[in-house]
Amino acid sequence: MAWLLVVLLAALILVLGVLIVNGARSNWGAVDHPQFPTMQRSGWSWESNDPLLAGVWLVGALQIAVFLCLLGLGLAGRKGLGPLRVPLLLGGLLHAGLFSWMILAHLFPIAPSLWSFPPPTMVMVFFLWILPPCYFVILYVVVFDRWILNRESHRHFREFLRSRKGKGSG
Amino acid sequence: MDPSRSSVILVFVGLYMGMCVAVGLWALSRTRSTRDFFMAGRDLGIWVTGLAVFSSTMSGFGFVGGPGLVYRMGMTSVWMVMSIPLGYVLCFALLAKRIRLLAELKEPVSLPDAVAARYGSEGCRFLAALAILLGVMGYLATQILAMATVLRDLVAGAGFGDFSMEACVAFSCAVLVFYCVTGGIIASVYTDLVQGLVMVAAAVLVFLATANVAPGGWSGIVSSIASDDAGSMSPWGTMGAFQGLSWYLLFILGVAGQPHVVTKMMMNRRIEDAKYILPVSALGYGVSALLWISIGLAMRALVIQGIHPELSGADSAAPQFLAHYVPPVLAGIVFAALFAAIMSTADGFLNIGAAAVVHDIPRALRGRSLGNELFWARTATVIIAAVASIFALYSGDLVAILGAFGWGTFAAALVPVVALGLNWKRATALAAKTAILVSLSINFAFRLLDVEVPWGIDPGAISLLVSLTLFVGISLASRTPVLDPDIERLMDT
Repeated sequence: MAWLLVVLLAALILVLGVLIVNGARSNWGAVDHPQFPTMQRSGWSWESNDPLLAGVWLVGALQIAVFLCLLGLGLAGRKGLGPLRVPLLLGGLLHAGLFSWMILAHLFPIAPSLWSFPPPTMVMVFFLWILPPCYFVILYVVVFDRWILNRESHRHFREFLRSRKGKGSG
Repeated sequence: MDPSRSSVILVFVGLYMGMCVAVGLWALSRTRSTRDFFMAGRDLGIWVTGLAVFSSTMSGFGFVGGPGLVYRMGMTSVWMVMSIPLGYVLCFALLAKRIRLLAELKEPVSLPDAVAARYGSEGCRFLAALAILLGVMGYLATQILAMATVLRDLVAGAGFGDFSMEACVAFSCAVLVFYCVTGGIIASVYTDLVQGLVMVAAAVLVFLATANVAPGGWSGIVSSIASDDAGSMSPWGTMGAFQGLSWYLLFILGVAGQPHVVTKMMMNRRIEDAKYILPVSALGYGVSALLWISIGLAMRALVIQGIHPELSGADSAAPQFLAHYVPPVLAGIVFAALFAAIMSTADGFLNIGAAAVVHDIPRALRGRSLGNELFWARTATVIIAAVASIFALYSGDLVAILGAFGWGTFAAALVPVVALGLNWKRATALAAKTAILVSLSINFAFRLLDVEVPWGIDPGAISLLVSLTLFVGISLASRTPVLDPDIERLMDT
């Protein structure tokens, strides 16, 4: 897991490094609002074949992979992830899938409409914001007793603590 | 603001501060030892811990700065609030079990204590305490400044005259210091419980109120902003994709490095409660984040539509909205929630700062902590609050620099050392020291030299990536460390 983490972190640093070094379009950010000085306006717009969109997807996907890798490190027991591997991967696919949908919605605006949000923002606010945290929180609650702190290992730890305290007081 | 409206708001703020003083007095009788003062006797229930975790994450910045950012840059800053519930998931997965087991095994009273136990290194303890102290001073000063500014505006609005900033800092700090000194972390977490509930209620009520302030409700708000500038209503806001994504990374990973959050994971009564504490914290934060986005978007739309005049500054979005568009009682609740948000973060910082000064730094330097630690912990709490107040009043731009430095510093310095270190046996003390030193250097260099990174990428995210990579890389390149058998046992559980 540690090697995978190093590879993912190195890839993320590499992609961001390339972006920073080739920052020709680094004014791709905010400009002052012509009418209201305390507001900004966006100084950029997407073109349908913008290669930068792929860069945004790559950075986002790598970040999700780093998150998933760290999550796996935290949830892994002494024998690795075991049966947790599948639900964890499904969660990663859900997270990455929603992120990809949000990116694709810039090009193919397929999303339900609510409160006039533009399609990518709609995906972000009503899906990407809500579903991945819900999935991972529920996963944590469901697997906690069986996998994260199972009774057997908890009992062993308690016995170890008791014997240690006994030795200390004796 | 209408003086009668300001008076109603002041009554609510006064009631809230009275409650804080009462909790401080109640907690005084329950604080008998350093362990009570710093660790709440490790006897907290699910609701208290869950709400304390979320309310100490949602600082005054969330209630004033957050709506201001949405007003100014549209959707960009929403990436910050979107990331926190996922950050809680990661933080609980990496730390809830391990750090709570460590609390039973080694009985630490602070995070640097836990770091020293993990690596068997006083150098690691010293550097962790130093990083915490630097971050605490910056964060605390900005919280005190925000509290005094809001109080001064309220008092002036109610027609009680123009009080000096010094007087407002002294009054608001007096309440904060009183309950932190008398009741330590016990007072802090029980006020956090009330503060968290107030924040959730205020956020829901404000969200409902924003739906009726502009013609067309939420659709009207969204479409008027989008017709003025489509980019500001896109997922990336005005600042662009890479700024939003760098915040997403920094805030998801960064929660596990916030000492005021992580130390609360050592305080719950039963380890098994972690599975219920996570949903409470994530839901609490998710709901109170509604205030961040709803006020910001509503005020941007109201100004664009010409219903409200241009603001004097982006940070006045929330105060202006509350002054003009919600009933006085609701405004009173929200202002009380604002003080709650500020104080619930500040009290946690005071406590961990005091631990660093009286417990960790002396232990790292002289091998033992100060005698009569409880007395010195209370004294240090007063001194830290006084120094942070002076700093807030007279250090000019340095407060803003250190305030911005806070989250990124904690994240970059402590995520690898604490969150990875407690889950990975190969992690070495050398890697931990390097990660802390490099992250402090990068963060300070970026902030002091005012370096602007292309694409708006947050320097805190760069610092976090570099420190994580160095930590893992150096550990892999080093010889496998020999662990304390107790720590090895803990990591196998």
